Amino acid sequence: MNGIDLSAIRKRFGETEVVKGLDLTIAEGEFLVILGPSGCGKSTLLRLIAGLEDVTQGRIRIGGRDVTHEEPGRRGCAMVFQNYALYPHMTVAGNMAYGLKVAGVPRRERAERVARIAGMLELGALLDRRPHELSGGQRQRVAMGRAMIRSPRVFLFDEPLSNLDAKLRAQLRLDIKRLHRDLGTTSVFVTHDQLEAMTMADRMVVMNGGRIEQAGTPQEIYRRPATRFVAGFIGAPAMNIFPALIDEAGRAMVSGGWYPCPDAVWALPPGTEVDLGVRPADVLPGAPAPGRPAFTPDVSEDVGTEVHLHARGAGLDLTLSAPAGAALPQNDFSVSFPAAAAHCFAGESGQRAALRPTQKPERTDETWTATSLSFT
Amino acid sequence: MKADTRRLVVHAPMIVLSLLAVFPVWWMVVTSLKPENEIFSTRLWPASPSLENYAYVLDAIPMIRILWNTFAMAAATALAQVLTGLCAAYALTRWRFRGSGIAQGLIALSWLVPFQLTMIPNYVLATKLGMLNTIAGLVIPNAAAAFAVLVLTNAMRSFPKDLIDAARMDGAGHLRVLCEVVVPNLRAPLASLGVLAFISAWNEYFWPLLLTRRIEDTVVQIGLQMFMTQEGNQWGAMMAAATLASLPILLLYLVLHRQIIDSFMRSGIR
Repeated sequence: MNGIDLSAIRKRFGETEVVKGLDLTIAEGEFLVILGPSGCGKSTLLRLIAGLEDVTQGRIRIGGRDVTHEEPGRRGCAMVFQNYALYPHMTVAGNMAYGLKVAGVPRRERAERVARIAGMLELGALLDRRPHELSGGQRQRVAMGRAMIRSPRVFLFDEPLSNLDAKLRAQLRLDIKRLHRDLGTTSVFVTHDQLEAMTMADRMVVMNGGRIEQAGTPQEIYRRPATRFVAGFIGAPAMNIFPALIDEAGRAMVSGGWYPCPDAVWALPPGTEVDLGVRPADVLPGAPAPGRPAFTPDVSEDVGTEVHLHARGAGLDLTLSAPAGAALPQNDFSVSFPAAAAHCFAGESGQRAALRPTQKPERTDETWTATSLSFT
Repeated sequence: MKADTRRLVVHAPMIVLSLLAVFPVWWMVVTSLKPENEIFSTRLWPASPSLENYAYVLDAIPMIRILWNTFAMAAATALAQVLTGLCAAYALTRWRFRGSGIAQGLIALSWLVPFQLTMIPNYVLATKLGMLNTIAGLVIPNAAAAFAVLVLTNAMRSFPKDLIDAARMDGAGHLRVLCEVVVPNLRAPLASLGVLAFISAWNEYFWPLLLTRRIEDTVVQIGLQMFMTQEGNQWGAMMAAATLASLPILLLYLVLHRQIIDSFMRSGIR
């Protein structure tokens, strides 16, 4: 039983409340990623779990034991820091063994455990080096070794890959995933990089302003963002959001009487201001038509596997993405999208709105249809 | 040629300043080697150098004992100032507590309090505690220095917080973090502060003058005073004693000059 249970956690620094009454349960063996923008409280939350900060209010349980007021070293957590935090005056072996030394583990056993972990992380040849003699990737592996050597109940990762270049980051992402698969240790990983979050998480928590916006699997969060914030934060390129108004029939009308998704009828009272969203990959371009605003292609970005086209029209910005090689609009075009691809968020609360119960479109993974359209 | 001229222009003032700095030391050594009849001669080297002043000094006062007292007092004071400064700086930078800003302000303010203001109360206290004529009496009132706290607070502020957090995650308590993680990585400011505190304590005059009554319990700065008599100053003996008093500091500098300059440069103390 090495799960983590956080209940009603609050953290204040002076007058500023950084974590605002947060409840979260992390199952044993789960790989949970906490994602959010800078200053959302995600690192503070991790430090609260680690014991590096004291909670202002609330309870933290690890493995069923209340550790709210325990010292960091007694919680059974190990942490990997963003900038490695290796002791500069110690060798790689010294760094890895320090926690064991503090715990009073005999020298011989320390050496054995260092050798075993170093073997797992391919650090065997570097044990006598000091941190300044290592590359960024090697330093991060040493930091991971230092965390692993104590066989902790919980791994805490504080943006451990953000100082690495893209290639190394992808490699270490895989390494961490494999280690988690092999060790099965409960892990909490904080990042602001959604690609990291989506690819690594068993479950994701999106935080904003000290609160949890949504928790769920990466697919749940991507497919059904619970709030306007999550919709805008998850996905690259970001979701297109159009301010709209709910009409008498429950359909969302964008300014100028445009109904980009006429099939969707929302369970909201008429006159409600909403934000209507659609992923760039779900946008269906079409020939210009009366009653639909014309979008003019502005800039396109080729990212190899797909192309993103940024366009403007009727005071709105729009991004659509298509697989590489697909025909993209060259001239003015109109836009629509199916009800299943539409996301609607109530204007004031930003909460996701549901479709009316009578209408239950099955979400299918729309395939790109622009290739079949021709724009001349 | 142009480069040579530029170098000369840059170096000339430095050479003059160096000579100005070195000359008094040179004059002290030369005077200490002059026999009585040559004391007031302005020659840069005595006509017949002799060590008779040194022999006289060693005979007239317990110079070795005094040097040892001074060394013990200066080393203990430097060590105490570094230790107290280190603990205070760690607490001020790592612990959030109510009034930490005020505490730091008061420490900084205490630096501005002149010695003459605390001299009498400290003397009365030291007397009541039976610390007259003791090295402890010389050290304890100077065991904490605002300068040391401020220098180390500054150094500790730029110390990577993650290293301390990593050590705490490894299970180390605050004392262990301080001794095994902070100190080994703050060697430069600690060394420069230690050297400054040692020199400052070595040159201390007023407090030992108040506190020590017996010549064998005193320190070298007071010992020098023995050669200023009502009948006139014994310049040769005084300069010989001053030379002997400077030797340990000079030796310390010669042995450690590379590290001292390096640590002063790195710690920002100049």
